[in-house]
Amino acid sequence: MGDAVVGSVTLRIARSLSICALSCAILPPTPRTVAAQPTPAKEALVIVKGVATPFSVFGLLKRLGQIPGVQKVTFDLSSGVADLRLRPDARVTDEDIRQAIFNASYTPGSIRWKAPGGDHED
Amino acid sequence: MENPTLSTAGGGYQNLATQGVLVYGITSQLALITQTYQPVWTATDATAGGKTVRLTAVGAGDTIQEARYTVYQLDGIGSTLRVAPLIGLAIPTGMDDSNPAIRRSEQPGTGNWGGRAALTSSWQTLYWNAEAEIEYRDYIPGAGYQFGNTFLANAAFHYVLWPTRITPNIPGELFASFETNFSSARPNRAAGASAPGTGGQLWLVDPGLDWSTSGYGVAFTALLPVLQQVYGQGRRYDWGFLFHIRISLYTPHHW
Repeated sequence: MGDAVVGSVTLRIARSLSICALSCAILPPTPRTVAAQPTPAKEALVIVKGVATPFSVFGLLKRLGQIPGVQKVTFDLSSGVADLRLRPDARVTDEDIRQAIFNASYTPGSIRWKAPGGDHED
Repeated sequence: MENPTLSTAGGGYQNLATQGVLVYGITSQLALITQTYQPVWTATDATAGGKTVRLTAVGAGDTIQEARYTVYQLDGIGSTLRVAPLIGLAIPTGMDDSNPAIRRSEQPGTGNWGGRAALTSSWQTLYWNAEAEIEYRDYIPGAGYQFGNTFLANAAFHYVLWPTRITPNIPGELFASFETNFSSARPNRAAGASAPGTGGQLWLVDPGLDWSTSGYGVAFTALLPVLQQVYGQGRRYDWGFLFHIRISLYTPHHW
């Protein structure tokens, strides 16, 4: 399990570097402001496939709850949607969520991020 | 090979066994399954000098070690379809001479090492699940006796009777179950010759009820024969039942 955590951290760093490189290429040479950064999402709605018994929900919730920055997790059996509430300073990636679902022996589906100003789907 | 005949002899044979099954998830695909049978109690009638006497044998049964690996998994919302081959080893830990007056095939243990290979599949949803399995068992002679190689085909269907709406907070689930088991075995061999009254085909249908929670499960299943053929005059299968208790000991990998 330690390997999985290390893997996701490495990916997060790589993604940050690529965003930085893209920003440097397209942004004018003006001082960067806080407003130029994307607003951190506070909630993620994730489709989880393969949960076919109510008694395996506990394991899924525990895996998702172990992601650093996740404050609360709920899961709706009939729709297969997990609702992750994040701490304001959380930096959770799609890969973090997908890996946690794989580790719980299930299959991740689409991830929809909800930010205070709107939402988007990956 | 003798022709299969319908057996008519009950012989007063009874078998009562406690089976322990430990399933350990090594990874999300690989599981190790250990089955133990102990104690095993058998009883049979024997006629000597015009009198019928009751003979019993009790002792440890054999141990089965299996490994199952999921090779195909198709997950949907509220459902999962899995296909997993299985290989196993039968270890003769049982007593094959508990009561010398009882014939070898009715002792608590087989005294035979054996191998087994199976293909298992399951389709599980929130409100029902179905399982199917085919298996082949092969035995190596031990102490002058060899159990007949056996082919098995099993299928099961479980349907949730209660509650009518599944949520994560329900206390448990009550299932109606219906299973069917078919086995076809070669005759056992004693000292190189077919042992009379062994081998043949047996087809059972098994209605039952199953109460399942996250921590434990209890099930009762009746085993009712619809077809049986034995090579020579063998024991007739009248009825059987399974009383099943499951306790979940969650592994760190899954929880």
